[in-house]
Amino acid sequence: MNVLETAGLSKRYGRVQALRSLDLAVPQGSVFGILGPNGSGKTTALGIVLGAIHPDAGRYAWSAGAPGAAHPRIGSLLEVPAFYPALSGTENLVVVARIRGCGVEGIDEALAQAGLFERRHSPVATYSLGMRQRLAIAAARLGAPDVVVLDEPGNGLDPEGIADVRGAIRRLATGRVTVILASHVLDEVQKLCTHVAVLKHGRLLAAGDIDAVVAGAARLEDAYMALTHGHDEPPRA
Amino acid sequence: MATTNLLALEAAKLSPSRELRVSLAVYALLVALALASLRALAFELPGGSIRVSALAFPDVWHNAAYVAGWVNYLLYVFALQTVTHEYQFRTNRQNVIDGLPRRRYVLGKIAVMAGFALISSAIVTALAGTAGVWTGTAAASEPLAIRFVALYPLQTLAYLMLALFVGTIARRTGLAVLLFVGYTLVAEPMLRDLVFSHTLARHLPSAAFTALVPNPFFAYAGMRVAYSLTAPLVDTAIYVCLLGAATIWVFEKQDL
Repeated sequence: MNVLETAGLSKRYGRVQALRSLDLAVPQGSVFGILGPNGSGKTTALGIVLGAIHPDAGRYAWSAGAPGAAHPRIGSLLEVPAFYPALSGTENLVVVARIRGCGVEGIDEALAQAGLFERRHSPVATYSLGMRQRLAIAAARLGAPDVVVLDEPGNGLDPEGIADVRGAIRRLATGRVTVILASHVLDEVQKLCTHVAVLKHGRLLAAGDIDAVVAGAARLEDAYMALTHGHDEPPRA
Repeated sequence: MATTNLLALEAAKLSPSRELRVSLAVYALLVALALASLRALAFELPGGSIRVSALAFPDVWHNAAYVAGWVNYLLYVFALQTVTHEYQFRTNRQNVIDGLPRRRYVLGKIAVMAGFALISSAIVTALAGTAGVWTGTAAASEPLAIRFVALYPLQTLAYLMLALFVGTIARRTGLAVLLFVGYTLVAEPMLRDLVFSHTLARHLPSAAFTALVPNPFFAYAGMRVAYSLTAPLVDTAIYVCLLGAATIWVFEKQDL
């Protein structure tokens, strides 16, 4: 059972083809890594399936998995943490809770898990980048989502923060939550993901079970280098 | 998400904001100062100077609505910021990703604009009423001045809807303010004078909105201006609907 399927997703910005006919299938309950260098189309692909960007061509479909549910509940962090800077951490999570239609009861617990409980009443404008990143991850997990989409969740975090995020992703995965993780950190993907897709210049180079993608290579990094070798020319429209 | 929840969402975004409270306080202060400046209004006419009681009932309703219309540019800039900051901080994108339908996002912003118009009207009505009570009653230059209590909110809402549309197109605060002020104070007056005939020019947006609360001070000089309310009312109502629909259309087409 796939929670997300895309077919032929394409997007062009001016003369740059950001995404070229992307076909993906994300199995339910997987930790699905989308791997690629900066500018490979990871954020564009996630922006499209999250409804923030309109594709030029192609289609995508989410499947809730649960009987009677039309659409899974999705929590996400796309590219950079996006919060109202004048509002506190708590007030920002109230906004998220109101949109998702979930109660505000879980907000204090989410803030405590993110290590932000002591600063919950401070304006987000006073938070460091790492604190905002942790708040964004707390927001993504609010309301027990079926799918969590995280785009470069380690950005701005210190080693301890990165370890916390990895722990949180593992806990989500054991709780049957599907995690879609975009990253250019190969080590992070290899440690966390059950499935992986490799993108470069908007083109899908490989996708599937991580063991199958790594195949005979010793590490994901070796497989990645072998896959991406010879794809240095960005595709033009 | 029900309508009440949409209002609660916008309230959750705005009500804790210190910037909003400070801006509204400054706005109320400026309206009060603008009204105070009418206290000793005098006109130099060929026959000598005349002093008028611009703050006396019933003229105070018209005069206050007119001068507040100029102070409202502060409110319009704040409204533009409310829209463009959602782009700057990418919070509108996060709202959409979190599951808020784009149409409902814009409906929420329209509700905010209506809220600003109501708050502005409450401030102006309270200040004008206070000034009138303080000053007393005088001979009316405009017999139906009380109607401006109803027309002023519509004029304010219309300009705020224009600000919502401009902010949604421009996305950046500086550009949005430049476009809004440039259009309403420079471009449209030039179009009215240089391009369009008088018949067509009075149907342009800013002309229609302004005509709802025309300049009251000509009357004190004994000048009578032919003035029909029907056309500006109809034009403004149409523009408010068109600007709302156009904003929804633009936002639904945008990549965030």
